[in-house]
Amino acid sequence: MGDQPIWITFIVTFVIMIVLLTSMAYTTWYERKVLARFQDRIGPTRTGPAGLLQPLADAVKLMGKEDLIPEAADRKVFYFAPMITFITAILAAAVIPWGGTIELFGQSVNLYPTDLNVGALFILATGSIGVYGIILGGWSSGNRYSLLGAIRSAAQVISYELILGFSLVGIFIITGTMSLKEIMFRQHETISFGPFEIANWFVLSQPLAFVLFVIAAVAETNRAPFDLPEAESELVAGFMTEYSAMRFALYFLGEYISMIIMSLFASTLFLGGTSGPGADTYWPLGIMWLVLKAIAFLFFYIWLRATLPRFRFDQLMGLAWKVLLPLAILNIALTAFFRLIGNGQVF
Amino acid sequence: MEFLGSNWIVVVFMVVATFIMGFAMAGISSVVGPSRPNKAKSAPYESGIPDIKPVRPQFTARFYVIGMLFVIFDLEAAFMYPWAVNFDVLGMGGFVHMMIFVSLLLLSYVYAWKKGALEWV
Amino acid sequence: MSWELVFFAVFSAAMLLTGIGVVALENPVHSAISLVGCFINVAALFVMLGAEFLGVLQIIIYTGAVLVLVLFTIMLVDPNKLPAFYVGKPMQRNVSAIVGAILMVELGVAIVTRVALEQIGPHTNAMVDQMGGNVQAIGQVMLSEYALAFEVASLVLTVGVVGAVVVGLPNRLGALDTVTMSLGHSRGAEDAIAAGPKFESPMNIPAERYVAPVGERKVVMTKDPDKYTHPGETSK
Repeated sequence: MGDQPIWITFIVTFVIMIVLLTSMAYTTWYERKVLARFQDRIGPTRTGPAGLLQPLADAVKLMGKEDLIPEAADRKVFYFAPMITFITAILAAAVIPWGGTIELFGQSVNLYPTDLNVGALFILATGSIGVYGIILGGWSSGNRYSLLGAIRSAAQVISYELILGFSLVGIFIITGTMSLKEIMFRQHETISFGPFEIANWFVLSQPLAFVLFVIAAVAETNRAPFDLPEAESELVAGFMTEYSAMRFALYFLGEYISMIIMSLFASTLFLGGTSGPGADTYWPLGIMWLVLKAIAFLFFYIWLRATLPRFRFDQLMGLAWKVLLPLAILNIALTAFFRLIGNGQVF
Repeated sequence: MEFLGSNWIVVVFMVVATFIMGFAMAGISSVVGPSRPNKAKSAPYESGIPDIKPVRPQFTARFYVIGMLFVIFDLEAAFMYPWAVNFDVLGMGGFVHMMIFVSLLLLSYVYAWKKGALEWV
Repeated sequence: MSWELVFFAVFSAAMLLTGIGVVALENPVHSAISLVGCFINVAALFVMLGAEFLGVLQIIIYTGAVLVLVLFTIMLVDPNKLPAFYVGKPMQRNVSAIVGAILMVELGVAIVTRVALEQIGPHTNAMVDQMGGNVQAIGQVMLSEYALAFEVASLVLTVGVVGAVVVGLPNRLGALDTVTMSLGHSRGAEDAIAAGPKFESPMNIPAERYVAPVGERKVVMTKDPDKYTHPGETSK
C-alpha cells in the first residue's frame, strides 16, 4: 500500500482507464494496418494521415446506428450483458503495475492503481465474471446462432481459464507472492551465469508456462485461431449476432481491451514488465519498455490471426484438456522439484 | 483493516467509473441513432430464412461434463495457490502432500480420459 | 457514520436483495443471474473482512465455475419440461423450512459463541498480517494443521470426477449425445428423432427414389448416419 492521498490514486486510475480506451481504439487501427500488410494491402488511408482518424470515424458511425432489440430478446438481460464484458475487461487493469513509486510535483505517486495481495488471481476473477457477458448476451438474444456461440464460448473460455490459472502456479512457487508489483520487481534483478549478467525474466526460468500462458491468453480473449464463439462463416458472429450500434461496440471494446490487458499481463509476468535498460533510474523508460513489450504481443496476436486457420471445436477442447492440462501440471511438478533442489530442502 | 485505506477502494472506484462510461456509451446511440423498427428487422437473424420455431436448440451433454470437470480442476488450482505461495516455508513436507493430492486427481483425470469424457464427438 | 459501515450496508443489502431474487424470480436464468450478483456481494464482504484470498476464490470458483455449470444445465433442458419446482409438495416445503430454520440457529450459535463470548480463534487479522497475509496464512495452516483434511479434499474431488463421468456418460443420455442439432431448421433434428431410426418415406415412393422437398430436408449430425437414413443413401 503506497502512502499517497486517495485522490492521487483516483487520478492515476482515471488516467490509466482513459489511456486504455484510447489505446484500444488505436489497437483496431494497428490491427487493420498490420493485417493489411500481411495480405499485401495498405489498410486505411483516407481518414486522416495514414488513416489515423479511422477509429474516430468508426466510433461516430457506430453511435449513429440504430440500437436494435430483437423481438425474441430478453430485454433487460440483453441491455445489460455487454456492460458486463466491458466492465470486467477494464477492471483487470486495476492490478497492472506501470512502475514503482515516483516523485512528481513534490508528491509521491504510485504508478499503479492498486497493489493487491492477490493481484494475479484478481485478473483471473475478472475473466471469470467476463464469461457472463458472453453467455447472457447469447442467451438473451433469442437467436440460435447466438445461443450456440455463447455455450461454445463459455466452454472454451472456462477450459482455457484453467490452463491460465495452472500456468501461473510456477511463478508463484518461484516468487512466493501473487502481487503483480512484487512479481515484476523480482524480474528487475539480474542473475549471473559466469561472466554474463542476464535479466531474471521468468520466460527464461518458466518457458513451458510462458507457452501455455500465451496459448491460453489467445483462447481466453476469443481471438483467432480460437475465435470459435464468433466464427463468422458458421455462426454469423456467434453471441453478438443480434447486437448493433454501441451495444455491439461495448463487446468490441471489451474484446480489444482484454487483448491489451492480456498483453500487459503476460509482459508483467514473464517478460519483466517495466524491466529494461535505464528503467530503474528513469521511470518513463520503464513505461516505454512495458508498452513496447505489449505492442510486440499485440503484433503476435495479429500475426496469429493472419496466419492460422480456425480450430475445429473438438480440436480446441482436445488441445485444452488432453495436451495443455497435463503439460501445465507437469510444469508445476518440475518447477516445484527444481525449487526444492535449489533450496537444498531435499533430504 | 479499515476498508477505505485498503487497496480495494480503487476497485470499487473503477467499477463505478466503468459502469457510468458504459452506460453513457450505450445511451448515446439510443439518443443519437435512429429508431425505425419493423417486423423483419426485429425478427431473429436466420440468414434470410424465416424462423419456424422458437429457439431451443439441443446441446450435447458434453458441455455439462466439461463444466463439471472444470469445477473440479479449478478447485484443484485453488488448493494449489496457497501451497505455491508458501512453497519455501513448507518445503519437502508440503511438496509430498501436494504430490499426493495431485496424483489422486491425476488418477481421476486418467479415469475420465479412459471413459471418453474428454472426447468431443 | 464511517465509510466502512456505508460500504457494508450497501454490499449486504445488495446481497440480501439478490438472494431473495434467486428464489423469487420466475425465469431460471434470471435466478442464476441473481445468484451471480449475490456471490459477488459475498466476495465483497469477504474482502471487507480482510479475507482477500477467500473473496477472490469466491468469484473464481462460485461465479466462474459453479454458476457456469448451473447455466449450462438450465440451457440444456427445456424450461417447459421442468418439474413444478417453484410450487413443491407441502411436505417438501415444510422440510425445507425446518432445515433452513436449523441452519439459521446454527449460524446464530456460531456467531454468539465466537463473538459475544469472545472465544475468538487464533487466526485474528493481526496474526494473519504477521504471517505475511491471507494466502500465506491459509497455505501454512492448510498444509500442516489440516493436512489430512486437505488430502481428503482431493478424495472428494476424485469422487466428483467419477460422478461427472458417470452422469454424463454418452449411453446414459442416449439421443441427446448422438444428435446434436440442426442448424438450418430446428425441426429437422427433432423430426428425425421422433421418426426414429430408419423412418419410412411418405406416399409409397420407393425408398431409393425419394428426395425430401426443400422445406423438409433433415439435417442431423450423428455418429452413425445409417440409423437415420435409408441404407445406401449415406454415401450420396
